[in-house]
Amino acid sequence: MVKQSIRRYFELMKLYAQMDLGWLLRDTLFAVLALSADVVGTVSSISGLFLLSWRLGGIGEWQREQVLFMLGFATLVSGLFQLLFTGNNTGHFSRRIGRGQVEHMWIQPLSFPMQLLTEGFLPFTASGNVISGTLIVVFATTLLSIDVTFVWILQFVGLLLTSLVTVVAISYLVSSLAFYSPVQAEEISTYVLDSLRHLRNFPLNAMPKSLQVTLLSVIPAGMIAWYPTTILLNTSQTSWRMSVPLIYSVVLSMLALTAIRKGLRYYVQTGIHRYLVHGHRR
Amino acid sequence: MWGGDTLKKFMKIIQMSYMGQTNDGYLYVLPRILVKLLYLLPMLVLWRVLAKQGANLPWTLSQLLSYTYVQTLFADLLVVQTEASSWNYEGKLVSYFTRPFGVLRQLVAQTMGSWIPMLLFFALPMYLLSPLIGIDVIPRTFWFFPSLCLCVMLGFAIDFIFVCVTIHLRGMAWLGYVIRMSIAALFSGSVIPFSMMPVFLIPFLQIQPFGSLAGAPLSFLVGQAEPFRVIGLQVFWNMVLWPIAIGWFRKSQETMVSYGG
Repeated sequence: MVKQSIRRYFELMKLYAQMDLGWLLRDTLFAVLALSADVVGTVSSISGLFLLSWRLGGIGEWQREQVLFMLGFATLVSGLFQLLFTGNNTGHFSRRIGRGQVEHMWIQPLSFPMQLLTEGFLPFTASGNVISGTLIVVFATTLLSIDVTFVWILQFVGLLLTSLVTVVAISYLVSSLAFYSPVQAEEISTYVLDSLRHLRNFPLNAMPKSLQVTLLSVIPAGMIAWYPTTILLNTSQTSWRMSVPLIYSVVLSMLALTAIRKGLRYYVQTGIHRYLVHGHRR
Repeated sequence: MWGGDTLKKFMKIIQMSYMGQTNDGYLYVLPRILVKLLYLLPMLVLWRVLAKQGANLPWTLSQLLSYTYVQTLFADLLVVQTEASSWNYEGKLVSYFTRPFGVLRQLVAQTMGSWIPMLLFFALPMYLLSPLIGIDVIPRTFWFFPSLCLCVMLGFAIDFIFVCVTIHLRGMAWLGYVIRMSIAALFSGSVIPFSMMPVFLIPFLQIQPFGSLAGAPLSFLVGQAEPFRVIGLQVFWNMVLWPIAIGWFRKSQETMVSYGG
């Protein structure tokens, strides 16, 4: 059963990759524009703080190269999110709920998790930020003269995936509100992820403890890029700190799963009436 | 052109827009307020931290706090964004063509109406609270007010140009939105004041059209702008971009495809 699911997963990923490539080749101009928009969006969101740290030589205890590394890491997290969860709004589930599109999912001969883990895959047209994030990280790593060992790379990949899980879990957790208030909460995942995109760029070591704690717990912006960066740059040595992002992402995922399950139960009882008879949204 | 009847219609659309924002109750304004506060707090702390660590800042801490605080309070006015791009995609814009009132005028009125809830329930209380948290929000010069008017006007012109871009991108609203917001965030001075940017970038940032948006009135607010140069640039960009916006929109609306969904 598990083996069959894994095989099906890769078959579907291949299918979505082919469709994405087909779109790129059919309408190359538009696909290139879409790719550039993602890069422009993320690069501009990190540019403000980077240019500020460039002007001042750093922010707080961090040199500008360390700030650059953190911003590159944040860009990579965004890039992976876009690569795996942009298509069909799988990363912005509140849109699908709010637009009444969850109903389309019931008639598919696939489980919900399988649909959500595969439909968003856009390896070609959404790869802009993975490329730009990788370039920024490599450049910052060179500037910082980091000793890149196999263990360090494993740590890097592990923390990157943990950050990705955190972002997806937050998105699904807040998206569950759309089950109860589809019109008002349709774009809630966009608002929340946009806010996190702004907040995650702050080097929190410059911030007071109370703000650090808030941004590492209730609003986990610091868990996305700053905290992993402190581990990768060895600015916080204790080994147990490595497990904190992992535990945090697991707890958040469990919460998101519970909220979505509860929301789905409510959804099957009430449904969503978002469309007028002529097809426009209310 | 702007007789009593036109003004009445204009005001009615503002009222309808405001009511549309609050029909489901005032509680729905709360998430937007929380998002604003989430944006504001780290920025204020950042300036304080930089000042405390003795960074070589070109402005005083008080000026930086005022700049960021007022920018957050009046963000909707400082970088204007109408709903036109997304409405084209969603099919709502079509209904504006069936009303006996200019489409662009309706968009201006609708946008102004949409500002009211945040101005009433976020900007006003925060403005009144500012002395208690030690932030000076009183403009240092009278030039702030004409500059703000020119900034809002220019914001509408730039928005309408982006609406045309969206129409020509065959309704891909999100693409236009992402590009436009990215450019605005960096080039309008709405996040970081231009004076805090690397020195070699400052002349370019000040002279380009987005530089006449948020950065211009906020520089007057903290008393860091030369009236002749900044107001002159704002007038110049308004004179250049408004004819382009109106002319291009007239041409673009003929090719508009808006099917909703």
